[in-house]
Amino acid sequence: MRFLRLIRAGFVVNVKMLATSSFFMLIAVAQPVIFATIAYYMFLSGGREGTLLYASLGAGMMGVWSTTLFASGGMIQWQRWQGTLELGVASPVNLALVYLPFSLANSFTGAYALAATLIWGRVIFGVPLHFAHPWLFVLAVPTVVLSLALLGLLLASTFVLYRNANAMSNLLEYPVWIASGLVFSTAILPAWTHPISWILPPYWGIIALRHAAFGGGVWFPLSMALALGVISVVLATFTLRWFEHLARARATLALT
Amino acid sequence: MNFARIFFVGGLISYRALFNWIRPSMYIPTMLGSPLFQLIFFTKLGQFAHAESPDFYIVGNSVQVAAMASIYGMPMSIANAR
Repeated sequence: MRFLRLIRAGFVVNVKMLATSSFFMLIAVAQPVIFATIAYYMFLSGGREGTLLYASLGAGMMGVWSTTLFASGGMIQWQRWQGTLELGVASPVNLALVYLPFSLANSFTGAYALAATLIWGRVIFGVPLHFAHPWLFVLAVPTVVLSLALLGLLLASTFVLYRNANAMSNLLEYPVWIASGLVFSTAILPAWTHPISWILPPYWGIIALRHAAFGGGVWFPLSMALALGVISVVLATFTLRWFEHLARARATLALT
Repeated sequence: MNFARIFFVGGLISYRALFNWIRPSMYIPTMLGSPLFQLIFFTKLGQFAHAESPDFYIVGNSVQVAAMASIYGMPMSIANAR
């Protein structure tokens, strides 16, 4: 019960903070729409009219990833600036539990991107929103968002020590878009990159969403996304504990 | 003469004050890594969409990335001066 109260309180506070941030609204709503528009025109230019929904889903997932990445990268840094990092670290509950609701809120805010690109594609480009498995799509969206949130927690844990987390956030945005094949198939990438794709929850997440939209097996990719998310949270529990110990030993916890 | 001195000395000081990119650990991911992956992303997207050749995206993204450094730099200079 205490666990659920902690999750709810952290989630609500962080959603409110993100919802009042124009930066995150830009990343979660405006940026995916811009990328979706670019992808639409590129697909139209190449004669791929039938893949506009493909572009919408991909651009939406790009927005979910960007929001998760930047919010996870900034999460620890903002706590430093606000002077609340020490309070979070010193709190009696496990540090992973303190930051799990923050990660959930980050990805939840990122889910606006999916809605924004689907609505934008429908209204501006007339993209037909006909899903092969509508109920599985409804199930897949929160599951994929959850898996990305859990990966975000793992990222945030590594940023406890790394004071240039924002630079790392900038660097990781495009590579994950590429390796996950969010707006194009990973089949056009070199074969050596495929194992990298397989360990990324967004890769399985976008496959699950595409299969739910266009037809195909949804359960396997969805299970893979969730399993990788669970592995991420287990790893995050250990890395947070380890990095917290290192930050205390080096007295770098609160340094900006 | 005074105008030129302010222009060049101010420019030099502003260049030195780009603290966000002053260290290799910040400069390499932000100014080299991210643009490179952006270029790969759009080239692959173009390849998948069958729209234009890779050269088109390489040239276009190179120009855009160079412009972005100026666009980012000015707001950051003003924000950091605050």
